[in-house]
Amino acid sequence: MSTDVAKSELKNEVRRLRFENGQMTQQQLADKVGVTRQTIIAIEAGRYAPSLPLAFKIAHAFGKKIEEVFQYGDENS
Amino acid sequence: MNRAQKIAWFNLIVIAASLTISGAAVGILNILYGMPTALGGLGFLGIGALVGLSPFLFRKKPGQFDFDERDQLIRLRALFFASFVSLWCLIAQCVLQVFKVGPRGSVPVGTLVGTVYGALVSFVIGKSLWTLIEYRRGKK
Repeated sequence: MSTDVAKSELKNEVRRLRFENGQMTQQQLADKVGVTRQTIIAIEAGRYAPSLPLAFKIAHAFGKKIEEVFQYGDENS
Repeated sequence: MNRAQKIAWFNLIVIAASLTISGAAVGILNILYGMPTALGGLGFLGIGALVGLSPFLFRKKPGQFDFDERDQLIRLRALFFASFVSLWCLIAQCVLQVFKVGPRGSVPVGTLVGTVYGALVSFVIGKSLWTLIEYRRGKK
């Protein structure tokens, strides 16, 4: 069981959505979803794949569906 | 640097200090008084017990949120790696003794103590190193 992901496997729009949501800081998002800022940094950089509950929390924090925030592999290509 | 990293660095420094100081003490005492007395320098290995203080030295600040699912995963991996290293150190030392004194030979009590100490130290080093590596890998 590994949650370290290759950048190509799990893509996310967290960084873009933060800026679209009133320039939300990483710390603000972290506080909102109950993780550390470093975890948000790792998720944005694609170095950590969040658990399903955390992925849902992040999506809800932006008022989006999970698939609008996280995409797996080449599903969009 | 978060609390887990601080504890890992502290533990590594303490272990390195205890090994260096005791090694130096044994060396100096060996020059001055010869071998059986020089082993008294191993008493400095007791400095290593300071690793037990790390959770108290780096306390969680009230209201601070500094541990989440990723930290938990890193801790779990570090524990797994440390257990692996520690177990292999223990096995290697036992096999070494079999080759050294034979299957029916007897081992000095000091060797047993050293074996257990070595396993504990390798556990602490393995856990600390793996913690630092994992956080560095994720740029945390």
